[in-house]
Amino acid sequence: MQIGIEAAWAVIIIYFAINIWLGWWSKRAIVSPEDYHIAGRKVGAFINGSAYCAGYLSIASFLGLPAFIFLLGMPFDWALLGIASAMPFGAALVAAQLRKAAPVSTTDYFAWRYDTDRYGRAILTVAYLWGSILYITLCLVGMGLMFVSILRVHYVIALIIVMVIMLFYLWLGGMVATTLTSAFQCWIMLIAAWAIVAGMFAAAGGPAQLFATSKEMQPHFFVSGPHNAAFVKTMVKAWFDPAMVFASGFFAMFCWYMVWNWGSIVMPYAIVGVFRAFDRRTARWTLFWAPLFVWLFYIALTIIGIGARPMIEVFGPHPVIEEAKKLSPALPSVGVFRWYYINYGIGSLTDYATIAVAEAIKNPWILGLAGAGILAIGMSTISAWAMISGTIIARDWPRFVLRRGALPPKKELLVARITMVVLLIVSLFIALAPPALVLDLSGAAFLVIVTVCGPPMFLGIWWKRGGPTTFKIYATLMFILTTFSWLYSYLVWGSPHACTFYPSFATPHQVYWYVIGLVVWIILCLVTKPAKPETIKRYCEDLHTP
Amino acid sequence: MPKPSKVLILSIVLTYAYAFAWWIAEAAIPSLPGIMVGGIPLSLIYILPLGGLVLGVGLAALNAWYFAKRDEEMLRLLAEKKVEEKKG
Repeated sequence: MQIGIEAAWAVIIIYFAINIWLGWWSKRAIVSPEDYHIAGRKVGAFINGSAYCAGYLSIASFLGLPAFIFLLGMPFDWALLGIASAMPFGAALVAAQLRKAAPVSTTDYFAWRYDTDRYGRAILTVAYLWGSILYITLCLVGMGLMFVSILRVHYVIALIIVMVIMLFYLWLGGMVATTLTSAFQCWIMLIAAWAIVAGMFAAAGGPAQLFATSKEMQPHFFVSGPHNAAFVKTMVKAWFDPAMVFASGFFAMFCWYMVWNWGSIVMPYAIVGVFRAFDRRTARWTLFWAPLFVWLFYIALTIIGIGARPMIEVFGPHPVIEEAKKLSPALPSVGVFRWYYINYGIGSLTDYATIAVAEAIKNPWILGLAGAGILAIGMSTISAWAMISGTIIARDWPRFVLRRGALPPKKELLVARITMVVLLIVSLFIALAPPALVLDLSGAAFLVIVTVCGPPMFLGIWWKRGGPTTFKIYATLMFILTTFSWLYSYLVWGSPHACTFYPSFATPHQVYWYVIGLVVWIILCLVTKPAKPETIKRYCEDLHTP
Repeated sequence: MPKPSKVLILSIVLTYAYAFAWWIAEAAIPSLPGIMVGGIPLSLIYILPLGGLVLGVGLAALNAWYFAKRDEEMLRLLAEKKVEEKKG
């Protein structure tokens, strides 16, 4: 079973050594809480774009997307396409404007623009904590799986190792450290993904052979969404109505594109990247580098997803394929995942496709790079979410929600760090038995936050309508509706992709709420009072000019 | 609401035209994602994301360059206006 695992360890150790050195070197730059929260707004476009990419993408991308392609096939390509293609608009629509508004916390812009320092921040805190816990959980799961693969330890022990690494990283770090290390992590995860692709092509004898074998082994895989019954069935399970294949498949493609499209410039853990940019120009160019890296990464992930099954079953094959065949004779690839699930105490069957492909290549250096890539993407996402949550609790709550004034700088940093530790511990318990595939967890967070924050952010910058009442009603209503809807489908219909109101119809992660939210926001803006004229001037009109 | 810039409109139109063209093509031709798999290197499963990369990164560069330049131009005009006001 061992495949020269020492070389893989060596790559991981080198990765950690560089991270620790970068963290130690950049820690000298932390002289104020602002340095800790937003890197003192000193970061250039290339580094910031790299860090934006690493922060925005998560384990849900590295492990989740190839796993979803493995399960659903190419109809899932729309998710990949949607992720990066709105980022260019971000440079024009939000980046420079938010940089000019100069928020520190991700709740600042909403609180300022809608004159709602207390309630607005409180409801956003709830939404962001929901997102933080889900994202941190899925990253812990992915990093835990990676340590299972590299160290051959029980999943719980692997999770504890991940916890120790993350506690150390977050306690010492801060946004200066996490920005620099995140930029480094972006390059590592890109190299890792393309190293896996190169290994797959080498093992298969070229891309043409890999794809041809994939098509031969799974013909349904290459049928487009609106015609692919297997794809729709996987999403909605028993409730699926065969008459709905076309509508469900088309709707799924459309939704995946649209929601991830606009989410890429609304999600708080990504948008915080704009706050730390050096100036407006840097903020705009950040959103050139970020999509470039995201695209390069996603193309590699698409290839990993397409080639996963032939690689695990034929070209590798995976080192435990014989045991896997006994566990799942019809689909030995799934048998591999099941073998790990049984032998390493993983709480539920989860996304192992990317790691299994890296193992099937049987090159310890590539396995080590894959491990470093998974650690890189997990660490950058956890730190981005933990940082924004820590900033909200340590900075925003004492000052604006509780109105007791700012905490002393040292105490503020301590509270931020304690918040991160609590989030990590809560997420650890959930990660012991992952409640869903990692991409489903990110989908739940995405739905809530993109719906709650998207329209107020875009239209807040570009439309004078909307005031305190608009935001309070909208944020509360949409938070309740989206979380209830996702949980209802997940718990009652057995799939978050079955439409809450009509389960025969597939609606990935109830994403229709995003469109409904936009309409609700516009209606509310038209029937409620706008914000004070000076607020509109400062946080809407003035942001349109440099 | 300010007048939207032509570059932004062009970016949005091109991005969505590209997506719509694929949606319609995939709805019309069920086997589209699989056409030419294993054949010539530039089969359709490459073209979809590669086209997205070329278009997306091209538009990202155009947006970043155009809007950064426009910011600088506006700042220069504002500075000139201030100087003229002082002289006046």
